[in-house]
Amino acid sequence: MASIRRTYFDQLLKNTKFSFPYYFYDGMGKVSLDLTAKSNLAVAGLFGEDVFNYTIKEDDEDVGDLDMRWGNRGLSVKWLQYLTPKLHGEVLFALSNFHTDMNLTFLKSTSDFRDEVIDYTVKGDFSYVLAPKHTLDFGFDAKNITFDFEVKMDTLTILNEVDTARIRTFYLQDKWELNPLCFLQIGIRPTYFTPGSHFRWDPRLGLKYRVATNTTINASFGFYSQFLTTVGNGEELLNLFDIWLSPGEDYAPGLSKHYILGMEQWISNNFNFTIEGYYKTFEYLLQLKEKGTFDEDAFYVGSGYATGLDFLFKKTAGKFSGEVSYSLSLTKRTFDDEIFCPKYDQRHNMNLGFGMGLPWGLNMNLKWKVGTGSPYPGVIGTYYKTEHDFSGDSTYTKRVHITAPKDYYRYPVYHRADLDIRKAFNWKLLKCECFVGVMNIYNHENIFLYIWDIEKDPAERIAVTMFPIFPSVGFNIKF
Amino acid sequence: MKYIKIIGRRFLLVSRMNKCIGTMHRVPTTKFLGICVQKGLIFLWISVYFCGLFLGCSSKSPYQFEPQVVVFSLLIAGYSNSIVKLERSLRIDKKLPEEGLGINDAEIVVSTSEDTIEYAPIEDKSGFFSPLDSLMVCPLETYHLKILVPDEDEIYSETIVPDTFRIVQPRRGDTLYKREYPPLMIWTKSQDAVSYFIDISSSIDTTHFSVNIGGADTVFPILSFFLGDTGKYVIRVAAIDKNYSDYLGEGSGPRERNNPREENTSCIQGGIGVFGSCAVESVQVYVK
Repeated sequence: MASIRRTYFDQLLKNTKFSFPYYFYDGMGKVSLDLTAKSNLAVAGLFGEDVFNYTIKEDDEDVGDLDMRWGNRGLSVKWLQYLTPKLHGEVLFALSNFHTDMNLTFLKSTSDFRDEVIDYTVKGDFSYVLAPKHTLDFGFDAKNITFDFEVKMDTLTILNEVDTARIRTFYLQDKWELNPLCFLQIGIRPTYFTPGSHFRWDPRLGLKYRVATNTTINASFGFYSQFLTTVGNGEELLNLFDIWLSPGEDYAPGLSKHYILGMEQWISNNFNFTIEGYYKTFEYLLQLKEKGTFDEDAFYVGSGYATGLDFLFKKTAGKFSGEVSYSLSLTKRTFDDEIFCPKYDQRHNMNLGFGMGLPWGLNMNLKWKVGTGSPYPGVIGTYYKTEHDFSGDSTYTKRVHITAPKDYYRYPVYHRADLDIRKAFNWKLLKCECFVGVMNIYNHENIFLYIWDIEKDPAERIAVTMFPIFPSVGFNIKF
Repeated sequence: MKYIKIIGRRFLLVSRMNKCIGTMHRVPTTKFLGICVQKGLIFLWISVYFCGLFLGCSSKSPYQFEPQVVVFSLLIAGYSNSIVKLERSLRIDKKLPEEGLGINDAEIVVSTSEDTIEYAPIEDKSGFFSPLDSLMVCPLETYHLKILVPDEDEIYSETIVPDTFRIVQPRRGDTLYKREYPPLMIWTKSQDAVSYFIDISSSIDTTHFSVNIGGADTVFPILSFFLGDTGKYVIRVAAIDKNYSDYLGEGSGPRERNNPREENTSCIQGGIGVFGSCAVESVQVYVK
């Protein structure tokens, strides 16, 4: 199986006055081979890249060029083997490369930023049947992750840091159907991580109990460690350049503890309702200090929690399908004694999905999403910031903003509806699909951010909105 | 009034929903749900009900903004004409007052362990104060700033002036070649400096570049990016104290912050701004 796709808006608008400096392409392929009746070998590969290329102009003259590319590549080989009737397992060798490159040419000077994360993984998953309703899963996961971050200006290398993290994990999981009503899953995932020689046990427990014919209750608890982090101060709405790194020797890897309780109710054969409550704690969160440098002590170490209730009604089959989901959630972070809701805290979030078949083999999907706006600090004041030019007693000033606490304001309610109509058909050996879609069909102006025009007196707030109504057509071929 | 109407409608909607939920007890829940799903009513009800909740989340009263006193003063080692500038901050949606934001009726004193010098307003420069006696700034000396503004709490700050230092490379009159590997600027370490500020300016045109290198490094590459046309340039290196380094690092654009955490680390007690110090060295070079 193989597929390749690319967006062509940049090409369509190439010779018009509306340039669209972005495209992405991706592809994947998989070959599966039965070596014997009891073994299978699968080789899979994927690649994808987003490209943003923008020419900087001044008075209609090209003065610079910004070329950004980010994406990933991966290759994996998986070997599945049935060793005995009770024991089977698979071993996976995988290589992946996530990269971000940014090249800025401006006024004959060039700057290069490169961030690369190369992941070598060897993973084994085995399953042993102890009894008809009792299975023991075990395995290992060994990862070497290399972080390569380089900044160059002209011919000079300003920064070139190469760091390797090694993660060694073993896991053991017992899945046991104690009786027809009760299913238990208990496990442990000890992990050793360098640099820093950190060790985590990460125990996990899950329980499913059938309280009535069509009703089950689920409960689970677990520790989850996070060995990679991105650099950021947690407030930026748009990250053009993500830097991934390991917490290293100076900081402990992130740790999250999950407590989940839920219920699933089958109302009829194709209609079910689930409700799930959760409480998750987060420890050893890192946030870049705004006044800090990249020397030691560059991060605040914080904690946080997320709690909420998720409801889901789902109709899975029949002439019409659809779902309604609603989440009520609260997320808080604490950094340096400051407690706040981070930008991704969304108190209410609801999704409505509706799908149905149309004549001529067409399929229609309509989705509507509505959610509380993200928190933001909001500008409340202004002052003239004076700086010295160190040449004597001359100073210069610039007008800067004073903001409210991080989560004081929220953007207006976000809502959007998307419509998508597809038709799938076969042509010779190819599986084809064409589609017509409209994003944001009623052209709602969702707010992305507010900026202040301080040239005006008094200053004026300008709303920068997200995507307007956005029609698209496409054609997919699989071979 | 409009707000009250919105709240009223939402309350009405919720009370109607509650009445509907009350009637659910008369039929088995599963059957009731099934009927609602068939008629598509539950989707509509839930949507409308939660829309009310969502809209309620966005409304919040404006933040109570209190104007603060904004201080600017930078002591430069070896200089005697250090000024203090005082202004007030302004609510973002307010018009700038015609008389400006300067404060002129303040009492300002700068002192060391041995001297106390009073400041007086400078005529025709609103918000600027200069010392009444000569104040020669000495390296490694601690200076204290006290400001009394009517109807405000006392404002206080202090700074330790970084020691003088020497530029090792390039030397006065050296020629720097832009096309070669970037020449390095090297200087000796300054005691009590937490960061260095580089300023490159052309003597013949408007080319000007400045950067706070944000660390204690004493080496800086002079990239062609920082330079303009061939000619004479002045390169200044300022060894700056923690107060001024933090002040420069606060940001320069619309994302300037002033949350409670930052107020705690501000060097000005009772106001915002900076009372910092530095030692400056410069060298004149020729760029080709």
